[in-house]
Amino acid sequence: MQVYQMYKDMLYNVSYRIVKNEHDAQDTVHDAFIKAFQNISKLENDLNLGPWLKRIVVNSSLDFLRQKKKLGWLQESYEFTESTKENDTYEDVTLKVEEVKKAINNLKDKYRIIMVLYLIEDYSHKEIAEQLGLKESTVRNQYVRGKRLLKQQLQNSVAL
Amino acid sequence: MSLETFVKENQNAFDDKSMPKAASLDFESKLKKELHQDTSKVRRLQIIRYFSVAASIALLVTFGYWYQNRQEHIEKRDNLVLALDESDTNSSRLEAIYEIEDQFANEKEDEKILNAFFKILKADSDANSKVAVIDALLKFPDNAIVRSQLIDALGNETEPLVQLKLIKSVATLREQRAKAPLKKIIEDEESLPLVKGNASALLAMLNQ
Repeated sequence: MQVYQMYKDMLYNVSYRIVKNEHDAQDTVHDAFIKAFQNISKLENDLNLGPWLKRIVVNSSLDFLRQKKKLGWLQESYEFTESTKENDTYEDVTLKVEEVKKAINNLKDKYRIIMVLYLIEDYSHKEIAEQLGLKESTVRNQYVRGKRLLKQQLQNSVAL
Repeated sequence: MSLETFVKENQNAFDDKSMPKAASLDFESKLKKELHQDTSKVRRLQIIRYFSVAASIALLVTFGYWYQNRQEHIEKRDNLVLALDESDTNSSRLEAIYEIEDQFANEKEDEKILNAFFKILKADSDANSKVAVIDALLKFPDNAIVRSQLIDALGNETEPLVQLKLIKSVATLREQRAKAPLKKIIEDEESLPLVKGNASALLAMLNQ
């Protein structure tokens, strides 16, 4: 229970960002903890406990969405031919955490999940591609597009 | 500032949600349930393992017991057959025959015992032993070798008491092959009238 108390909030946030529902996030975190306890022997270094638990929660959350058939967009994902420049700056936008969070949440799942995993959970494009079964270039493109949509939202909110 | 840098610098601010307090209790009960299930599974496996070991031991002990009994049985038979072979007096031979009959009364015919009996039938043994052997052999009326041996003995036997016993035995078996030895007895001038009479009666019966 000590491990649970120590990591529950961090993992709850991770799961919530993916499943977007408090109750589902709670269930997913609990299932992930049980899964982790059952496989604790596979953890090679105790220092990696936090990241290891986080990976399990991310997997569980994505599995949850798969079960709920909320990852249907994965089949529809295709490579965009537009510019994939990643270095768009937000110099012209005043960034506030609450607004960024809200804007990310408003994105469609196909952008939101990739944005969350890359920006907040620190996954690489390659890792996201492996998790979602997409091409790395598709993930990269979708990320760039998501970022643009996010920027638009933030600019609009400033304008309002 | 890039979006990535902004998020990195404010990483902690994105983790602003807390798991509801009641969730801990939920989790605790869920965990207990899972652990209990696991313990039950382990216990069930242990019980199955104990039973398997116990069953294997019981099987080994039973097999060991059966094997030992079988060995003792074979040893006893060999000793009796040897005693039958080596008996130098009529009474000891008769005793051995009765002993074999008692010991192996309810068993399937044993080749070694049958051969020892056939040997007595053919040999120049005393009449009592031969009569006892015929009685013992009649316990296997369906054995083709036993039937043939009794018919052969009927053709070769000259001792009236044994001849009479063989005629009665063949009558019980209703063996058509007995006709030739019966005719031989009837035609033999040295056969006793009583033997001839019994042989004629049996021949008539077989001819019917």
